Amino acid sequence: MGKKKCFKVMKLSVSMPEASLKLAKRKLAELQEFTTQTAQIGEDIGQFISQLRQVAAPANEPFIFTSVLSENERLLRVVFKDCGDIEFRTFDAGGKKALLIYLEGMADTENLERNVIRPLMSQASPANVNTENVAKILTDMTVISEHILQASSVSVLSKASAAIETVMTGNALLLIDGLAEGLGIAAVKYVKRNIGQANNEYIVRGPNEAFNETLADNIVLIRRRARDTNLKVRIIKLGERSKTSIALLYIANLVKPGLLEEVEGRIGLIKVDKILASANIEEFIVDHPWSPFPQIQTTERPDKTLAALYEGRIAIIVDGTPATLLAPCTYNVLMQAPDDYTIQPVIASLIRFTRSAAAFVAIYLPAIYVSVVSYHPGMLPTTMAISIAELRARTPFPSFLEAFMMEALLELFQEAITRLPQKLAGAASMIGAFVIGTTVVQAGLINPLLVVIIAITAIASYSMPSYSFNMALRWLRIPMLILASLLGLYGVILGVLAVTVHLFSLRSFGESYLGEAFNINLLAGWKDSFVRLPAKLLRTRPKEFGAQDQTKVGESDGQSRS
Amino acid sequence: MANLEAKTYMSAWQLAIVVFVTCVGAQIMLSPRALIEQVGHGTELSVLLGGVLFYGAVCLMLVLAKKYPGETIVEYAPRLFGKVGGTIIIFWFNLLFFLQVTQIFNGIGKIITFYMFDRTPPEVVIAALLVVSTYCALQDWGTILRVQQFMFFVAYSILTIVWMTSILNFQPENLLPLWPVNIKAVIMGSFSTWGMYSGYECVLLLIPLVYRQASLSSLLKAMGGSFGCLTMIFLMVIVVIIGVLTVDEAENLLYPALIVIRSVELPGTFIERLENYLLIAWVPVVFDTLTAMMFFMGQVCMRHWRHADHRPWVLLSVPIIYVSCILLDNQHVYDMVNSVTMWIGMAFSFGVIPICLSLSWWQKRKAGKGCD
Repeated sequence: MGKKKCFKVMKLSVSMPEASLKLAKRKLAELQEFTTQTAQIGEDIGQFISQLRQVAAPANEPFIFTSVLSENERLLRVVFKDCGDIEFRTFDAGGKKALLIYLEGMADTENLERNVIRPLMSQASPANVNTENVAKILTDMTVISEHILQASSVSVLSKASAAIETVMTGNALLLIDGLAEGLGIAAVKYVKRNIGQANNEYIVRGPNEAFNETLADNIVLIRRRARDTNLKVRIIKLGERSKTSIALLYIANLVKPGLLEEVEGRIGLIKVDKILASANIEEFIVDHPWSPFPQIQTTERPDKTLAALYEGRIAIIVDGTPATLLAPCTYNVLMQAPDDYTIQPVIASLIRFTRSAAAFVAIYLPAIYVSVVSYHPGMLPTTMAISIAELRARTPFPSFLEAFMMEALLELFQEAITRLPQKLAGAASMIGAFVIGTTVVQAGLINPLLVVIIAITAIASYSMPSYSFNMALRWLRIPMLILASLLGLYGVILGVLAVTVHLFSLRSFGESYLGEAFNINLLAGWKDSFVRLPAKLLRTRPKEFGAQDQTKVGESDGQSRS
Repeated sequence: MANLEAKTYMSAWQLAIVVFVTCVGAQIMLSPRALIEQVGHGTELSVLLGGVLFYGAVCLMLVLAKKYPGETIVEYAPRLFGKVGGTIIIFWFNLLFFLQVTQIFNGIGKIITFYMFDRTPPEVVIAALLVVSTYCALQDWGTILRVQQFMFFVAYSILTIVWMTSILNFQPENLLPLWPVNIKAVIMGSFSTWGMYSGYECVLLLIPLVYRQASLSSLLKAMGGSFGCLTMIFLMVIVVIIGVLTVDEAENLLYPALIVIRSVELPGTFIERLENYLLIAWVPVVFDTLTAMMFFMGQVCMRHWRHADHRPWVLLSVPIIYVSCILLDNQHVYDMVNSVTMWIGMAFSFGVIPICLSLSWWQKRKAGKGCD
């Protein structure tokens, strides 16, 4: 039997040295080193370019425009890198290369085509015989804007930052080869909410238009109501990154001296990257940010805003939010509703008095209940004291704990109803009413009288014209309950004093929050505070806001007040 | 920040309100027994006489204050009496407020404990009120002035309404005999009403805060209104107490005003135990006086040591006030301190102030001599 021949299995690298693992590893290491070096070179080049730019452009400018369009385009493409919605449209304008840059979806392309691209391109058509003149025109942006473009609002931009901001706000930027300037062309057109009804401040008799999220629309809503050249609008930009437009509105010959500068100064001190809502500004400019009480009035109604302006106050409108801020703000203006001026003065006065009483009830009623039941049952008529004692005998908890639990439940339901979609909110409130009103009592956890007390408290807080004021009242209930449980009615009255002092100590741009109330030097202001006198007698503006002209022209300014 | 608050000054009538609320304070509950015991029939005459007497004192103070426009007694006392003498006068002035504050805290602590929380130590009641009063005294004058006006209209209205329900038990024959009365007791009693009217000394601190254009006559008129209201309130309290309880019964009760209101019954209404309502309305009245006096103490110290802020001094005074009013626990000590305070106050109003006026007149005369 012959010997069987076996094949020796060997590595591929034996016959093909270039396939060796060792070599592959070495090559890979070389490649990695090469990549690292390339990245390093890239970084060095980037730094070099940025150094070059720093030399050329001022500190706050990303670059400066050159007369070479391709260079400008390259720099802008770097700035707008990865911004897929930025459109770069190149075309021929009278023999010169032109570039139109705009945000797709925010700029009106039809408008641009009709008023910018078509007139410029027509300069290059063979039909145009006046080529010499065209060549002359195309050497100056101002002349181009005056003679060729048909857009309604055009501005010459020499700074790159302004040009970039123009594009980011939805306008178009036109660059032409040979010119170291750009043209900003107004072409903003984007999807927005129409002017609708006021959601939170509906009134029965009177205008119901409300602000939307667009600054320009909101200013128009005010301008349309007052053809007054003294109504001034000052636009400022806020937010390091968002560059949100903020409009300060005031009546030049009415606003309290120093108020505008103060508001501007405080807004100027805000250093944030973005402003998404007017509430962001509010927190920065109020005097006492730790207080639960709103120190700036918020409204979505243009008529209310205008009325505030004619009192010598300032309106702050923030682009992107319908909630306008009014400063200064006092208890008095928070407790007034536009409806007060569309009903009979006597009725309006009664309603105002009721609101103030409701504010008191909303804070103190549960505390008074706990203190009377726990410490001073003798203050109740005997029969009532006995029936309350019977009711309380069925529940295992002390009155403070009962009230605290009810408060917690109420807050939970209110929060749930606010957060839920509108269709579910109705169902949630039904469950809430059922659980609080019936089940909790049947289960013997809470006595029925307390349910009544808490329900009255909740309704009282809902009657506040200002939602943020209502929230402040809700917040105060718990400390008052604690005081009542510790010191009875004495604790409650001390709580009343502390809250009163706090309200008097609060300042909103120099105005005391509760200052006008019972101030004998401001007697004239009483005509339109806790009560409202007929319009014929309201001949002066509220003294507390320090308007330059205290007398109203005519018998009434015809506007509903805040 | 711009000073947007243009309401740093007050009018003469606002000063009158401040004097009124500073004076009324706790004494409407604390003083009547001692006064009725001292005078007997004719206590109302003592109250009237006291009103006139202390209005005279406040007139002297206004004349003195008008001689130094824009300055308080803290600034001009050292010029009149020299450095040491001036410091003594300032200390004396501040001591008046301090002694009154401690007595008021002690008094309210006792009353609230006695009528509302019989198992709570008065120290707790005092501490709670001290915290709230300090919070108010730490504010600026604009805030305190506004609080005082608010209380003047709200708390005093409620207090008066509740107190007037005691008329239901009023028996005019209890006031008899109207005459003869012990004239000497009436006159001595009028001095004892200092405890009721005290607090008017604050005008020496507040005059610089009144509009400069407010003339002396308008200030005197406003103070006249203030003292008129004070006298009316105190008369109302004394007359009703005697009318309901008689002199003999009132002088044997520690707090006759509360017994008067306790005896009121309003059948068919929801309201029972009216003394609780009265005490609830009285607490803001006392609070008003306490905060004003604590603020004045802080102001005096601030001005004397030339500081910019009164708040550290108010905070510093809090433990001293608390400990002092706890030490007054013994009724005998309390009465003694009350008596000492009265004589210190009387001496200040009718001794120091006339001397100040004389010195001021003398210094002016002396200054004018070298000019010819």
